[in-house]
Amino acid sequence: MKRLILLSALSLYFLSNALYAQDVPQSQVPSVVVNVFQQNFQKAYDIEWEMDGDRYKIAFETGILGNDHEAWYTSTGKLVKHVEEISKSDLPASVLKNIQTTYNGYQIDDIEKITEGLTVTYKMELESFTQDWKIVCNSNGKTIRKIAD
Amino acid sequence: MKLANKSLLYLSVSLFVIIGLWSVVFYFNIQYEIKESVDEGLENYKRQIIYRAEKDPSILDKTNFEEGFFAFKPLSAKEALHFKDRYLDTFMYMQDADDTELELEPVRMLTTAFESNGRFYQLKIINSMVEEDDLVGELLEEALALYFILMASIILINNVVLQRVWKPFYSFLHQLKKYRIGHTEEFPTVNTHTKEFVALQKAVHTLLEQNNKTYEQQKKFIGNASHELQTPLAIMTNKLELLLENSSLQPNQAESIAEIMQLVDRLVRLNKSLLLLSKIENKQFLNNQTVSVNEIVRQNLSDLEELAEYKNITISVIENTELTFFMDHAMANIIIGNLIRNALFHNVTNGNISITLYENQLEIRNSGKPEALLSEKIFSRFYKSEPNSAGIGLGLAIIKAICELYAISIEYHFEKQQHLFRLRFK
Amino acid sequence: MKILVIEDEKELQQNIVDSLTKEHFVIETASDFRTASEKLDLYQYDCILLDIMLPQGNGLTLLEELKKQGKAGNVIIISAKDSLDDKLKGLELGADDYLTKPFHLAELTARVKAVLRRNLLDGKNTLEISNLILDLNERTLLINNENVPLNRKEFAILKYFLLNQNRLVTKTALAEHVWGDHIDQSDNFDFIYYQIKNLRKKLQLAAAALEIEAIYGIGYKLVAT
Repeated sequence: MKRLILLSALSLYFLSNALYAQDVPQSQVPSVVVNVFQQNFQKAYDIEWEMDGDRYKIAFETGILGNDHEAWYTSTGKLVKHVEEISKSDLPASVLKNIQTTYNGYQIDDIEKITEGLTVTYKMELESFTQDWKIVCNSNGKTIRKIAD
Repeated sequence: MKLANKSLLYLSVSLFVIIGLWSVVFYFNIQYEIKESVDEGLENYKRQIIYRAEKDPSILDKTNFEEGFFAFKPLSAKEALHFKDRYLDTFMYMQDADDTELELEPVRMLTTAFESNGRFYQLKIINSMVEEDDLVGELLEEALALYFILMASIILINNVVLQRVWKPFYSFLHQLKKYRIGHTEEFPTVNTHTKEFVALQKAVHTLLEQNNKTYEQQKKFIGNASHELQTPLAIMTNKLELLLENSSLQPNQAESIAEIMQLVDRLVRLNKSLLLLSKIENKQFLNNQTVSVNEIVRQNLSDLEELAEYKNITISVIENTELTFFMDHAMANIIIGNLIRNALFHNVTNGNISITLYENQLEIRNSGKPEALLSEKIFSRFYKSEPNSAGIGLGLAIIKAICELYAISIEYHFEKQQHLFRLRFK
Repeated sequence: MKILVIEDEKELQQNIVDSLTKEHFVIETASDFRTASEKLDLYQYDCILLDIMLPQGNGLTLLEELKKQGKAGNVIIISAKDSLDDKLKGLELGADDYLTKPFHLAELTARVKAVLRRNLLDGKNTLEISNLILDLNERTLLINNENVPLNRKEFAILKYFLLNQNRLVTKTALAEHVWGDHIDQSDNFDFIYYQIKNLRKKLQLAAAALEIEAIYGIGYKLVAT
């Protein structure tokens, strides 16, 4: 009985992996994609490859503090999306200024820089005593989307 | 084989196996590590080369390894997109620093594919590997060196430590070897607190005590038995003598009695000898004095003069020195007298005896049977060189017992067809 | 001649008595310490055969008593205890001789006669039988007043025979007397035969009125012819 439970739990785990995202060892990733990635992010470490649909999703870290990154490549080696965890000080001054004026009195947290092709957007959480927001803004600091949290 | 050597043998064999197995595991481990590190290096090269190709596309024309460790090859998009990084062990003609000409050397090759300015290329990078032969050779040498160093240190430790640890044992063994039941007063002792040796000592002491007790009882028994036999034997002898004097005997009756008498005589002699032996062993002769061996030899020869004449035996005496010894006179007479009598009785007609006195040494040589006696047996009790002889086989045993009592060494040799008995007075 | 035999072993005592009777001695016996002590107090003996181990006491005590009376000189100790201590003590106390059991009757006779002769010696120390004179001091043999040369062993043998005239002398007794104890006796008898042969020849040549007869191959007897 115990073995049966263990077995079903294991198979469930693998099944769910297959359904959502599938871990892939780097040696199984086409060379073209690997090489492009390595050229793009030369200082990446703790690299984990996943198949996300027909794309390759790479989770990795950079820097001494271990900033989290996620990058998506097509199977031909085109970078389609790059999500980078950044600190408040890394935000462009215009963006920071804009947000601070729009959302006065809010704490800025969990900032992500999202690059898709040539467009750059920033995603962040804003927290106050009364209200939390999740917002996305463009490279000028203009809010594109706003969700109450 | 010595205990230390035995354990050394086991150690050497098991160490050989252990180090051998360890070497194999170590070899594969090292090889894996080397590959790992080479692969890592290849990957780094790959990044740098692709980076350079991006900056300087001219290097993309390099399609062979002639000038470097990498080569490009254009690929179709289809081929390229399905291509995955491959690491391969292979061989290439190369010239190492230690080679005079091109040689087939083992290399690790990384094959990858990449895109540059919309075109696809295949990139091969090589890195020379450690030659497996070299690695194996080196490792074997190291393993052997390790083995020998280990063995040498173990032998050294064995010699120093084990010899020290076993020293009380060997000293004990030495004492035990010298131990003579009934002669050695003190029991052998082991000078250590080592549990095993102390237990050994205890066991040996128990054994020796039992043996000594048995020996004492045996000695006493022989003494008592032969003593108790004296009177009945006296009665028998005298009764038979009186019977034979009776003139009314028939000749055949008398002959039977004569035969019985001879047997009784033998019994008497046997009993006397046993009593003498028992007395020697009980050290009942303590009237020790300085006796002149020369004097005793002369006295005995004078007593036996007519007998020697009868057998026509030439006796020569060479007195190199005046030999004296501190012992009981009667005992000295028994040893020397019996040896001379033996030399006479076991001689051949027209034979010879030569007696030589040296410093602390007496030699009695005689002609006789042309073959050696069994030197390891002649001194044991009841041994007779001629099984049918009327002798009782105790003569030399008694001599030996007296010699042991006075720490005189006695040897028998058969040299130049002569029987030689040598006494060394220490 | 009066002899006292102090011996507790009945059979042995009887043997000694039988043997000495043949020599025409007067024999008395004692089987224990008290009897012996009484007899020694009451009578005079020419020779005393004394066993050391006695019921009720030690023979050496008797010897001590005799020494005090100055009569220890004619004692022959007979003992199974061939220990040096006893022998030395006995001789020290003035015993004349020491005889260890077992012994030959011829040896006993010879020793008893030796004791008697020593004590009754009247100047000359000779054995005279028929036409034969053996001078023990001069070590000479005269037959019909003619000197007959003898070697040492022949002399010893003849003396032994003369002391045991008409008695059986066994070869072993003879060998022991003349050559002393030896464990390996096997070879002695040939030599004894040879010596006897020579002695007989000499006696015959000198026309001695004595003859050495062989007895059943075990010994000899000296008889007057």
